[in-house]
Amino acid sequence: MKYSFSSPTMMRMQNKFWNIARRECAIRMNKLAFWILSLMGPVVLVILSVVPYAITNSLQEKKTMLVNVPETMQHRFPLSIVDYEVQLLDTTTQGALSVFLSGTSQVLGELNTEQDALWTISTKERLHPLDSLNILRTLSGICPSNVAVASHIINFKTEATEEFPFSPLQQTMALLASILVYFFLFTYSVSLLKGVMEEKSGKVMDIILSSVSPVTWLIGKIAGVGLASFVQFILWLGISYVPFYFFKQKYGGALNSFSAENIHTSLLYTDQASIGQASGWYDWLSMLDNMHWGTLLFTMIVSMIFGFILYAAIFAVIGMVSGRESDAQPYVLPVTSPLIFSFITSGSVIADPSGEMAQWLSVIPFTAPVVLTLRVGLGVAFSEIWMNVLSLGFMSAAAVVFAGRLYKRMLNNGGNLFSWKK
Amino acid sequence: MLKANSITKYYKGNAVLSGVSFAVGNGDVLGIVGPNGAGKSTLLRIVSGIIDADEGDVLLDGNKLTISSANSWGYLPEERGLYPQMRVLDQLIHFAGLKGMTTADAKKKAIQLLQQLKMEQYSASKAGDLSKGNQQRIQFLTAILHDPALIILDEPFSGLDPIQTDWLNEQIQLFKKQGKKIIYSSHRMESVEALCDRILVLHNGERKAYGTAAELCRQPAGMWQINTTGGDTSWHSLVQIVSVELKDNGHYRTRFSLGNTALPSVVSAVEKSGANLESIKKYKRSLHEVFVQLTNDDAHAE
Repeated sequence: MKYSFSSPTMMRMQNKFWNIARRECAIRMNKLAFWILSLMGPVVLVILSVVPYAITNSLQEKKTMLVNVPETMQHRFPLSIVDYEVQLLDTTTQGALSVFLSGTSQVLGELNTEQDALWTISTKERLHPLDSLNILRTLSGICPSNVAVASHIINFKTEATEEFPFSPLQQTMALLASILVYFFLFTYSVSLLKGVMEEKSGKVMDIILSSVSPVTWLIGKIAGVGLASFVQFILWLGISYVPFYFFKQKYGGALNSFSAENIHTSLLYTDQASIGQASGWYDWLSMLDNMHWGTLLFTMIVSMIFGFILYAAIFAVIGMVSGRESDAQPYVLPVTSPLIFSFITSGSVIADPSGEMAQWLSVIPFTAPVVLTLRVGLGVAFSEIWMNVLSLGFMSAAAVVFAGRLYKRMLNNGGNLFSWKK
Repeated sequence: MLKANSITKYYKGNAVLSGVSFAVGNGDVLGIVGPNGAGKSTLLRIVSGIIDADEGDVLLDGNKLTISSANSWGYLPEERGLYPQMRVLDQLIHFAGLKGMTTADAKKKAIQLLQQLKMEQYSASKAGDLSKGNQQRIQFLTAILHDPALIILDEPFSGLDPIQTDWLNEQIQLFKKQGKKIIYSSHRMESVEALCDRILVLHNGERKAYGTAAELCRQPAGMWQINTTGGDTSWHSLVQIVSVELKDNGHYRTRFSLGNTALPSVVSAVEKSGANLESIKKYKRSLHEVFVQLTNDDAHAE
């Protein structure tokens, strides 16, 4: 029989499919727990985005700034500058000044105090705006000119290749995005599993399967549960964005004065502690602004959709073979272990998002949803992963058809996957 | 016309149905009876398209039965097939939707049927909160709401009180008048005998008997029933005893086949045994007795 999308048979199938999907979505969205989770989730999300950074900031130990300065000028130096403890070194070299920062173990530059020539500070890593500020502040203490003047005569330059291109914040956000994908995949796959078991334990399944094929039933079920999860995902993102939006609206302009370009000027008017905090929040906000949200969101959504279809089909099979939740439990851990494995190996992926390990994990459909999100969060272009996304999509579609047919086979074999006779 | 041809089904290598055939015409009611595990539910699930037969086929109006024509039939499973947490009206609309009805049509029809059953007060109740009998009635509505041509009912009287049973009997008769094909399985022999045009007796997956109630209950020539009090059983040796039942106050009801013995000889033997002969009449078997005999014969043979 030839089918077209407008044929009566096809229309009937579509209606039945939507009927199943609509019910699956509605029963989940009609539950109080859905809305509680929808509102609480973003709170957790915001906390996970902000708190680690705030804690890291507050726990940051004071760094040491070693200043090699002529003895005659030493009395002009402050002994503490924001995050730095200043240690003055005795020197015999008159008129020469060197500044060392702990961690970089290098001479940042030398200043000839006799001249106001352009002075370049070269670093291996991009210098944190606050660090450059501190250097300016330090130097301003010995220079006749003020900081604003110093900021004009000093040129900060990063010479070496960046070895580790991701800030801890970017890593946090990328990990958070992949955790979100994992959370939705797992939570809603388990929800579907319970739904299948509920229908199987009663005779609802018989009523359904006397009306639609197992494949149509499974597609409808996955679509409905997936739709509910998608609604919740969008709610999470939307609600999470609200505090960031208002924070940015209220403080964005003010924080902009603490950017690398403007921070030197701010130094003149603001106390050191405030500069430290404001500069940190500016970094955090600008990192959020600079992330490729469009690509990341798109990757998250397609990874979630395809990953959910794949895992939901597997969980549906578990529901079919298990009569009770306790029977299903032993199957859940092995099935979700690839997702857990994705997190175990996330260190390697973060270290090299385009490395061999990351690429292999992107090829395996069971680890791909989490790993692809993580990689894109770390800046990998979508053009590098579109083939993986496509293969994940094909795999998930095949899994649904396979699961539906498997269930029909089980029904035909009296609940067993294989008939002894056959 | 629904025709099942030599349906065979295996589970774990064992045949749970072996070459079962039957036919149901428009306005016909087919009753399927058999002991537990006889294969009744499996047969009905095959006819409902839930599972496939390993051998044989089912033809509906000349076409092989497939799930794409599922709107043509309604199925009531043996156990409850309702979502316990879902409202009754939503449930009816949902299942009617699976049978191709639009939401608006399904809602209109569901409300109408609930009103007819005087169950409209339950429309917003959760199915799990209803009594077993009311759940069964709702289940019945899910099977017939979309007005199918073929109605398949697996143990439809289960959980119904006498009034609800009468109601269901009336419904089946009504559908019969409307020309629908009805198949149902039941352990209620009196209902099957009264309602069904044809009866299929299944035992161990095999068709033990198939025909009208009259055909199935037709007794062999020379079957008699004698009611006595007192006396001994010395006359039993003259005839082939079918059954002996002790009623209240020492009354015996004995059913027997005459064989080669003449009836007057039996009567005089009864009187000689010291028994008080109260009545003697030709014996007409009930479906219940046919069923017990057919299934017991097999049990003894095993």
